[in-house]
Amino acid sequence: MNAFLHIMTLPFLACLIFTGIHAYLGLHVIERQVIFVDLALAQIAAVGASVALVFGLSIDSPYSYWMSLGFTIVGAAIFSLTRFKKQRVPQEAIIGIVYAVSAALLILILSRSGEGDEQIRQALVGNILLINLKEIIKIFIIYSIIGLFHYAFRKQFFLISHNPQEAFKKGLNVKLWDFLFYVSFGFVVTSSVKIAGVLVVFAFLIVPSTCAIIFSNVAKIRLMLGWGIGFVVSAIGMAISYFLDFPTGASVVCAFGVTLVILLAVKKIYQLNIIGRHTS
Amino acid sequence: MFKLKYLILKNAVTIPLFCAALSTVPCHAVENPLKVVATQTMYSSVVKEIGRDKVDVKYVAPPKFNVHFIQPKPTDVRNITKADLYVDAGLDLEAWSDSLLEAAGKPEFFRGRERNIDMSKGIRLLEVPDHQLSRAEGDIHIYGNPHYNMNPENVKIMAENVIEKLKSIDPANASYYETNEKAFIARLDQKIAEWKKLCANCNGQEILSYHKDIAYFADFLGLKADQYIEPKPGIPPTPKHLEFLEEYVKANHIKAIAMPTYYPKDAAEALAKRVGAKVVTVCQNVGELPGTDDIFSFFDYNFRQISEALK
Repeated sequence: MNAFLHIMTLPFLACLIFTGIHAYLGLHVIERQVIFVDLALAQIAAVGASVALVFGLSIDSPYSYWMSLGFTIVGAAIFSLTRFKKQRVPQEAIIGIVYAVSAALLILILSRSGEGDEQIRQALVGNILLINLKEIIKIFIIYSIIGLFHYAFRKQFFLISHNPQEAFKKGLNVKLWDFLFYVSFGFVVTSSVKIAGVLVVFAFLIVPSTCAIIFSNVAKIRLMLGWGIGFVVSAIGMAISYFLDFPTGASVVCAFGVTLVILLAVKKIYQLNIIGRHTS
Repeated sequence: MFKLKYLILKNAVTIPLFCAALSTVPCHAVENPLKVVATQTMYSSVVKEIGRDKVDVKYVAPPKFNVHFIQPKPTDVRNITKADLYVDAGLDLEAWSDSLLEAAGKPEFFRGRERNIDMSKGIRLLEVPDHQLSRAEGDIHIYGNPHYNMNPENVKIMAENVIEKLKSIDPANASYYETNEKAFIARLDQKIAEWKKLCANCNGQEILSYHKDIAYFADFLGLKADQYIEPKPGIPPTPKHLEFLEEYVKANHIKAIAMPTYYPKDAAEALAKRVGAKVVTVCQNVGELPGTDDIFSFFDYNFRQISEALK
């Protein structure tokens, strides 16, 4: 048991921190119907890192980090500028295009850099098992700041996600708030993907919030549910990974999948709804 | 499942207490068998040949996977936490190694520290960049080619690195290790002579390789091998490059394309078909294929394959 705690404590803490911010951001992502936006932003960030490599800057250097971040901001601008009052093309199309083009761009750039493919690929795969205390503290601080920022402007953020038409009507600068949303989102996703990889980040983002939305239509309760589910599933994932000796990230993702199926069954059987028979 | 959940929830409370206790655990003394973790199977095999009953050796990278991209698992962290000694390739091949050691909390296993064996020590490295390093020019490995496993002469140097460290941390068994090492080297010398004879036909020929991992193998056999299908790791060949290779293979009468098991075979096979060459599996690590489970059978396999193909 001691060995279990010794090895799995840090990854578990990382999962809890992930749950905290991703379950929240996931609610926005689902309401906006931009499910794969995190994959697109992570891919853009990887392009940034590869550009840094071509200029001879190591992948661990702060320049590489800022370069990734710069590219993520460009991505945020693209996503906020492609949301219109009347949406002719679904935003998922733009997201898909950004993903595919930046993945291809990455291949082109790396074919000229001759080095770093391993590291770039590693940056998209990650391994949450090997996280260290310094990284945990770093993401805790970054995510707390972003969490506070979102809490301070929760009215605006929830309005533009939930009811953009209303926001336009109220005269809110939707493009600006969209941009701020995607920049902060990109900040989180880029850091998380580097640690845990795209699969794990996607699961933390989408599964707890999906479960929560199935059961409730009140933002506060959804958030609590999302956090609860994230916490329990992280613990189960750690146990599966350790006791059955599976790769940690993939164990957590599969635990999320199974949990969703179980919760759907529970919902179907008991017709369970936590608050709110009248949908908004 | 419920039981597991309960177990974890219960322990969430004890984590802080445990962390405090952990920091006071003293470093344990050497006891037999000596627990050794090696990054690759080649190294764990060398350690086993010399340590035999006095060592308990484990490895991190399964030989059927590309050593560049290993995803360590909880067992690996646990094995390293319990180990007395860590063996790695040195250079910059195992990019995952440092974070693994950090996760296991074993600073004494880092390169150059007292409980680390750097297998590259004393090895004559090939393809060391001789100019100011520029990543844009395609210097994949900044210290030189790290795939030195492929030359049996280098195994002797690895054995030297191993015995030196074993004797220094476990002096009580020094003579035991020495006897084993002498026997191992003697057998290796005899086999090297055999392999040289078997592969006499390879000397002076040229082969193509999929990845830049063949230099030491070629060096041992007197082969020329400086053209690669994959121009850069992970980047598929461009049309121009394939066109060039086709011409090159024809012009130089190249009979074989060498590659390990874990890369996709289609590019090599398509090229081989067009130019009438053969794709040869050359293993990169002990145990990569059935029947290559120790150092001798590993080299036996590789050398038989290549000498057959170049007849």
